[in-house]
Amino acid sequence: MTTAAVLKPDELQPAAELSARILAQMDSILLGRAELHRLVLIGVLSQGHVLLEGLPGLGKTALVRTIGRIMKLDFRRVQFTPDLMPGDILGTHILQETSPGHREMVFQPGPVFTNILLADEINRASPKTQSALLETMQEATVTLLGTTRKLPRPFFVLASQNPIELEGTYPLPEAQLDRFLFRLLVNNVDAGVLHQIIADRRRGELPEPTWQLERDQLENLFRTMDRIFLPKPVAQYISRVVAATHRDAAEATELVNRYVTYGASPRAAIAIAEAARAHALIAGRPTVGFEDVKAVAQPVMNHRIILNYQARFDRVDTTAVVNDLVGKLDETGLKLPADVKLETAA
Amino acid sequence: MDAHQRALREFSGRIVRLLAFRTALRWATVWMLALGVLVLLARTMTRLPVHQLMLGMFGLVPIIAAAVWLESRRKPALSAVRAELDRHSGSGGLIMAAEQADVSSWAGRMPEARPPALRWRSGRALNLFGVSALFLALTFIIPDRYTALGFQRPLEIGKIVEELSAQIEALEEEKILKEDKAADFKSELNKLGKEALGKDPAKTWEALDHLQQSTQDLAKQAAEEAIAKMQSLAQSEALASAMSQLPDSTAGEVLTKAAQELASLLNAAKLDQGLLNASLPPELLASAKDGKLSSEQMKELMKAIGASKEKIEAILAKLENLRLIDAELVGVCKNAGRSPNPGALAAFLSENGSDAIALEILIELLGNGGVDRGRGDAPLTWKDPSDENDIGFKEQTLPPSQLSAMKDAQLVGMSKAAPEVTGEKATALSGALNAAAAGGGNARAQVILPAHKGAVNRFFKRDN
Repeated sequence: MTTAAVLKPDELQPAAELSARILAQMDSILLGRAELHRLVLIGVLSQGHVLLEGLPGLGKTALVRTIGRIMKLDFRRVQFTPDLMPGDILGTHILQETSPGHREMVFQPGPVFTNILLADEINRASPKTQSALLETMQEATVTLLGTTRKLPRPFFVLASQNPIELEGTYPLPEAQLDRFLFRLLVNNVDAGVLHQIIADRRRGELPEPTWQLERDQLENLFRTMDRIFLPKPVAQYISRVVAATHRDAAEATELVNRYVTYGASPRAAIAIAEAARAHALIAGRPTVGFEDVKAVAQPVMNHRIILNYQARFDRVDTTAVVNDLVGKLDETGLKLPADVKLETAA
Repeated sequence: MDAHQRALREFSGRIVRLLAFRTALRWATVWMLALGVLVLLARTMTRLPVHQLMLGMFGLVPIIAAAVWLESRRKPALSAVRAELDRHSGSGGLIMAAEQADVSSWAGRMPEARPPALRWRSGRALNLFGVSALFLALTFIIPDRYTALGFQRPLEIGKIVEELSAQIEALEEEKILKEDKAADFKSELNKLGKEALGKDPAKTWEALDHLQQSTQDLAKQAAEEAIAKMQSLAQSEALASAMSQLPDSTAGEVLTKAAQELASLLNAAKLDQGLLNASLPPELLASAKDGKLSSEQMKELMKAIGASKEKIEAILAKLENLRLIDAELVGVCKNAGRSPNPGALAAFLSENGSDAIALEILIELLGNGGVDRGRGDAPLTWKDPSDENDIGFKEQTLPPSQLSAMKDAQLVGMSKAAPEVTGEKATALSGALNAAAAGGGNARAQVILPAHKGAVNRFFKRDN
């Protein structure tokens, strides 16, 4: 019995084209990281926060700035330092004379009141300041002196941290890490891309986007995202993948049982579902397939799984564990015997 | 969407069929292995016929049925099959979504509905099935002699049964054993041959011994009878021979008496009775009884007696060949059939023809050793009694020893020499070891050094 209708082709087509244009713009401005651009766009379409991790100078900030410019969204950047206070981010009340003889405390919004907040080197701020972002990332609100203020929509935190120079840093607590949709690893580009940058970009300056996304188009994208259909078998697959990240789970792999201390949270399952929807939208499909889940499972879960010391000794990271799990878990749950295989009919 | 529905049903049915076949094959493999073991056990323990054991093959039918039923019960959920079809066709969730939502607007863009092919790596399963089938077939066709365990293997009594059978047939052939009794013996023998098991050999051996004893008893009885008849035939032959040697001048009364005596001997021998029939022509016996035996009749009678002897000897030889009687008995029989000295008998008849009692005694005596080697009842003669010198022992009283001296006596050795007698002085000496002393150079004796003397004395608490 059918109860709903999936997006029709003519309804999906504009959103898919918009996504493709955004990606095309990003790929033309930032060279050599098409997959990273795709994942960042998925993060934006999922209205999730993205943690970019990589060495300095790899273009993390440029990536965030480019997204903001293409989408014509308000963009703020905060360089996190150890002496940065919560008020420096969220805003503060200032005593202000509003009329002669009359003074009152006026709220001065912090940089968090924006669409895209670039939290540069977020792990350099103190835990107090880091935790100030918890409410904003989860609820998109700021509560000060009993007054809750909504942040502008959409609101994304694109944070960056580098894995070196860890002295004087404060690793993000798991609760805050869990609020990031993705943790994306920004790697070096190859020599060809570097040559292209040097040859075509004067002092590395980024070119201006040739096309920008309008606000209503962005809203339309979000609405289309909401209508991407998630079939039950795919939802079950997501649930099984997340459940299997826990030790001694029914479908846990050998790597999970050996190396994982804590598995992914339910928020990971929600994040995978949302990201898979965005992936399907970008691919121009009205429904989520298993390939969408597989494409986003690794960046969603790689910061949500806590490995034990044995994994450190054996140089096994979360990416290996998640890839192993996704590779071994049967998507459909058909549970065919090991000696029976399916082959695409000729 | 119809094409996808059809593909879905086809794919689902294909999965169920393959899994049912796979499970049935595995169960059949296990069943055939188990059945093979059971057949082996049954053939070794119970000796059930193979065709009855083959009925176990019908067990495959319920096993296959159960496998099909189980796999149809475990049929994968249709949503899972649909998901698999979606995954393989690369429809990106559209086929899955069709179960819950209207995807008709995407009908034109749906990929072709082609269910994936199922590939079963069946090599191992088929090999195991083949091995189990071969094993089962072997358990059926393997000969009984390889399946019988030691304690149930038939007793190896074939040779004994064969011997006994030949003995029974020979006894039956020679009329020593009656036909009905022989049939009973044969029946019992056949039964023993078929049913004799190593499990209970004593019973079989006992029955065989009984049969063997019965045949040997009969044969022995026949042999003893043959000895008696051979002796009578030999005496009769001797008498007949003596009669034929008598001169023509012999009185007719003597001949008549001798003929009557001959008839009496032959009648007393009861040749036509007993186990061995060695009867003579009755008209000759009647003529002999009347004392009117002509010379031709006499010759015929002697010929008949010789034939009877030969017949008895042949029977005994046959019995000996079949190991029913021993060679010694056959020898005795041959000796009994040897005719005594007919010349002496003819001379006696010439002199004392009318004395029938004496003739009878003479015939008896002539059969016991012969006149040329002396009488058999000659008295035994004894020479002088044996000398007891160097054999008997002469008693000699040894001198009494002092009891007090024996109290502290120690065994220092043994000698074969006789104890030395010292006359009046009754002292206990040690004969050939007189000079020997404890520890006096004997390697086996403990040497007591002077330093130890005190300790040894204290140990034995001796008072000097």
